[in-house]
Amino acid sequence: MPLILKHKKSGITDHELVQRCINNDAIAQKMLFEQYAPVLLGVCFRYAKNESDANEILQLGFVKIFNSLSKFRFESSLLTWITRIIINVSLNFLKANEKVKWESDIETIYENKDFSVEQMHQIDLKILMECIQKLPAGYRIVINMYAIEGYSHKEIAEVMNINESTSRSQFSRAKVLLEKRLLTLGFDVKKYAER
Amino acid sequence: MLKSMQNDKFNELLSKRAKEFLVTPNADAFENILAKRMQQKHRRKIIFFFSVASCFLLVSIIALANYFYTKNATFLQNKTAQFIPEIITKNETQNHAKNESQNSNSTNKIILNKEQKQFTKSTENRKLFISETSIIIFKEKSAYNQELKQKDELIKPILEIPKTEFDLPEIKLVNTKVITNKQTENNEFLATQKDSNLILLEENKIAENNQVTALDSLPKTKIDLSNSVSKKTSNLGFQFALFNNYMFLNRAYNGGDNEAIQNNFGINYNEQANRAYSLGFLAGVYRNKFTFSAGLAYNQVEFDKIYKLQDSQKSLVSKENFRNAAGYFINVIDQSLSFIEIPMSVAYKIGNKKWSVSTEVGTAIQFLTQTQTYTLQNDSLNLSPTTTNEVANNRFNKVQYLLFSSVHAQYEINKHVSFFAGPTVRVHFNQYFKNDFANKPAAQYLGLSSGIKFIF
Repeated sequence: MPLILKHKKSGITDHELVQRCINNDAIAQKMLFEQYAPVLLGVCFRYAKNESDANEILQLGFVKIFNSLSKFRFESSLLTWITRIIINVSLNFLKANEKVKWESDIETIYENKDFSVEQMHQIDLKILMECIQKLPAGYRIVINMYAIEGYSHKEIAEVMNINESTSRSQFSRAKVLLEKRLLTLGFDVKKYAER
Repeated sequence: MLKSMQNDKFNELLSKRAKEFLVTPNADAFENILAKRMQQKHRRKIIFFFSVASCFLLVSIIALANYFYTKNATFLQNKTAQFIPEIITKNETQNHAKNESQNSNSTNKIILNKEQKQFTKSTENRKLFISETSIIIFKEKSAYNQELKQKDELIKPILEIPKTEFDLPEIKLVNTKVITNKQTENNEFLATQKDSNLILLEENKIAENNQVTALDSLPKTKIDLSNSVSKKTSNLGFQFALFNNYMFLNRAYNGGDNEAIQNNFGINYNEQANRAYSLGFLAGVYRNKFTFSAGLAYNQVEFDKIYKLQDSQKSLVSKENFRNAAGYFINVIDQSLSFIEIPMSVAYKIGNKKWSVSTEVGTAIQFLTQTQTYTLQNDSLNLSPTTTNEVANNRFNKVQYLLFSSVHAQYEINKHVSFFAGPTVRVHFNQYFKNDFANKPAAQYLGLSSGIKFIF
């Protein structure tokens, strides 16, 4: 039996909500927005280079979501589906508005030996997001898609129209740069908080 | 191995932490999304309307060009046909007849008559012949050949119809118009069909199955009938109409008490469009009884404002000066919106006599070009009207969409000009105002439209 999720406030199911949104019910659209916007804006923050871009991506994404809801077949959860749309919109936005450089040359990448994965727990979320946002567009895309969303390098290569090896090397570089930034910015939490 | 495990762990932790990051969007984010959707819809509609309008205009231009091209071609061919300097002597004619009997494929040869100095096309059964003054119907081929052999004078017609008689009352058949009421002893008619052929019809055949059976046909391009046959026989052509609409509001466009707007004096007022006028032209192509048109018009909408005191349900005044409870003169505003309108329509004509009826359905897109507000000064007794131009006023939607339908009575003055008039209903499917009264029905007008139509 399929799991029927009911919305906290209204008590209506995703099915009903989607149907009402398809029928251009402004109240339902607002409910859908309020339900998912915080999560999706978090996604947008990771892909965008700043807050205003993130907000723009969110708005463009929701326009697309409302326009495409009639195509949603409930084969996955609504959140998964709309997250995928937001990711697509983010990628298109980055392609259109930022220079995405793909470095495919094989070069020794020095790992940060000072960085311990366990330390990730201690990092303030805002700082983590800030560090991701400050990565170059190409690095940001791969870190988001590979490490956070769980896409394979092959899938990333197909979506971004690059080689699989480029995606791998891009990820390695992105990871090193992120760790470096987290070391300089993120772990001195107290210092950061005092700023 | 260790490195790979570390990588996996890094990814897992990063993913977990990143997905914990929730951000509350700006307060106006949802409104912006709705506005963006609306803009996108408008853009799509505009693209759709422009595409359709472009198609209509293209078709109109092609039809017009085709009309003039065909007219010129016909004229040239007529000239050629009328002045063929070929004279066939008796012997030659006899030889020709022999050749014809030997070769049945030579049926399309032109035979010149010494007296008539014109041509005909020989086919089976009856034959048509065009002279400078008349169209002649001859007997069937065998009799014709026999006569040629026996007599010096070439052909004895069974019916001769002067061209001057062509413009006689019409008898409408399926796709066919009989152009004369003269007929042979076998009840044969001369008719035109599809604007291409002059054909000889057998009456009985028509009566039996309502279909046309041609005994003979002659391409009309070879016959100059421009002065004798009605242009209306053409079932593809071009028309141009000047029209005007005077519309009265049928369904109120107002916000009701809840959405009433408050002016500077704490007075509520409702706003509704009361009258609309259009003046413009439609150019179109007609095919059989259908006409497809597109055009351009100027449209003006006039609003009345009905004022109410804030704590009163009573309407105080409309379009007059008065004082409110505080002793102020209240703004009296009369607003009008001007639009450029692109109408597109399909019309179907019923009847083909002097009086006929046509039904029309169409759609139009209107672009706001000007808003005018006539305001009476409110701070002094010296009331003077001022006009402000608020083209960039953000309150109004810049684009309006509407559907219209009308039934026209049409009176044909002559073959080219007719008048029409009749009731029209126009239904808007978006609001004049951007965000006001979002859930209220849009305006609907009933009115009269009339105009003059030129048919080519």
